[in-house]
Amino acid sequence: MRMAIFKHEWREAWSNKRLIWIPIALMLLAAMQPVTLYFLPDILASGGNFPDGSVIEIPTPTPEEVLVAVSEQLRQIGLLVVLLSAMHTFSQERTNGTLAWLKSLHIPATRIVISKWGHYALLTLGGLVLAQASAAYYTMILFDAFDVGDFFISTLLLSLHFVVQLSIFFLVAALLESGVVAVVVTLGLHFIMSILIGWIDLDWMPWRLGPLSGEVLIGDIEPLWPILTSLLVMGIALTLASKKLQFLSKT
Amino acid sequence: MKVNHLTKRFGSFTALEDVSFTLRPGCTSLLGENGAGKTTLLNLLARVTAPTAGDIDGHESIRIGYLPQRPALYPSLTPVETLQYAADLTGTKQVDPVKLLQRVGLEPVDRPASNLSGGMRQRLGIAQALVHDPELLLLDEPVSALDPRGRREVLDLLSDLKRERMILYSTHVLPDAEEASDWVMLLRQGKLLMEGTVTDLLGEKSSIELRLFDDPTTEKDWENLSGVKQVTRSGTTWRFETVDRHLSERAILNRVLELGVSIQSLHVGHPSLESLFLEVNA
Repeated sequence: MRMAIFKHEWREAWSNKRLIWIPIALMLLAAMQPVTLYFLPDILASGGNFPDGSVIEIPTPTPEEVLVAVSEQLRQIGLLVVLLSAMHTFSQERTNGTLAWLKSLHIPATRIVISKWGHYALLTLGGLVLAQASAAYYTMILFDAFDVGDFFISTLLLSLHFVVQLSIFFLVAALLESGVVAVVVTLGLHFIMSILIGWIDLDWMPWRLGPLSGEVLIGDIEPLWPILTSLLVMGIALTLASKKLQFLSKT
Repeated sequence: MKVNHLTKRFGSFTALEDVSFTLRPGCTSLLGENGAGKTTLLNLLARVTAPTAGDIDGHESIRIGYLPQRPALYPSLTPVETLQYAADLTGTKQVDPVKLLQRVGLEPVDRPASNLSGGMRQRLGIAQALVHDPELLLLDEPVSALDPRGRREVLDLLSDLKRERMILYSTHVLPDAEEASDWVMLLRQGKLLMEGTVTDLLGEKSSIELRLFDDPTTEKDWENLSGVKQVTRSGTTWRFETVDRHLSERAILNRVLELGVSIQSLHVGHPSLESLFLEVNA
């Protein structure tokens, strides 16, 4: 009974094939990076339209630099993929009335939010693990070995970063009627905060986790405060989303 | 179930104002024009929205089955899966989805809800609302998408269900409300205008139409009749609007004898919820 919505989300994910295409999309995004970097000189030579006799010298990136590029790719396009997949959370259920029906059954809003969030968080984590594993595989065979411990921490930080962004999206989606607008607002906030933390000394902000997931591969990092604020933001976002859904304002 | 001074505002708009009533066992129909506040009241009773003011006694503990105006169905689930999910959500173990579907006149088709017709969706919505054997069944226009046969079946189902629970349903089909309801509530502009049994509401009103052979009478001849509110003439027919049917019938017949005229036809028109509805909303 308590797990019914959570189980239903997985059933829906299977029926609309979200369970398959999200991990595949994330894996492709991640695996493409080492492959593209490895073949970059050949790609440029064949399609770059350079005059005859041009010499292109591109230093071979280190495996760590390749994995940093993978992390950036996932944080940009990968996050977009995940948020688009969750776009209809709440908005579609508002439209087809199922959210109101769940409320009439006296099901706590917290259970609705946590069940859906739990599903998307696990799906995203699974997809990210597969994506990172495929990136690691191609990096190792095309470039060289790297520090597995650092890569493991990088994956953890990246995963936490995604889950925080997902939590923020859940809050925005609960507040707004449109799922598309909720995705745009979450990505806009992500974009603005990513620029701001580059300019101003805001190393404690949750949005620092993304860059840290790359930096950990090439140097030492201090992730304690961003992790703590991320957990705080996650808790606040999910609590407020539940409060908002406690009584639906639409008749 | 007692509803006390329920008010719901959306910003400056008052959808429902100071509505109080007691919901009784049996079937209650909720009437009113579009925008009268019927759906708002049902949403408040279904716990979908919170009231701005007022409360409902025993609201937290009661099992509620709710059919919104557009049935709340998951597009990808088949009818059987829909009912199984509803049973999972409510922790209902002893439910046979196929039997329940048959009870609302639906076959367990292997098609997702998104591919069902409007009538089938409505029936599935009713079955979904019944899964956990609710004590209060709230139905927002349950027959609006049904053909005449479907409407008849749902009315029969309501008559069957009302023996075991409270039912409150909104409708625009007034003859249905007259037939199926034990109690009627009439909302107008967010206020509860009147409530009672159909007989209570319609009272002793009627209209009597009288045609005479070689009618020599004038309006003066039909003045001061007991129980008659208004007399009008339309062609060769006299029409009497009455407030007391029995008194007025006797008075009219006595006057006919006094005048010594012969009756060609006499028709007593019984009042309907429809005429009451139109009169109230005029």
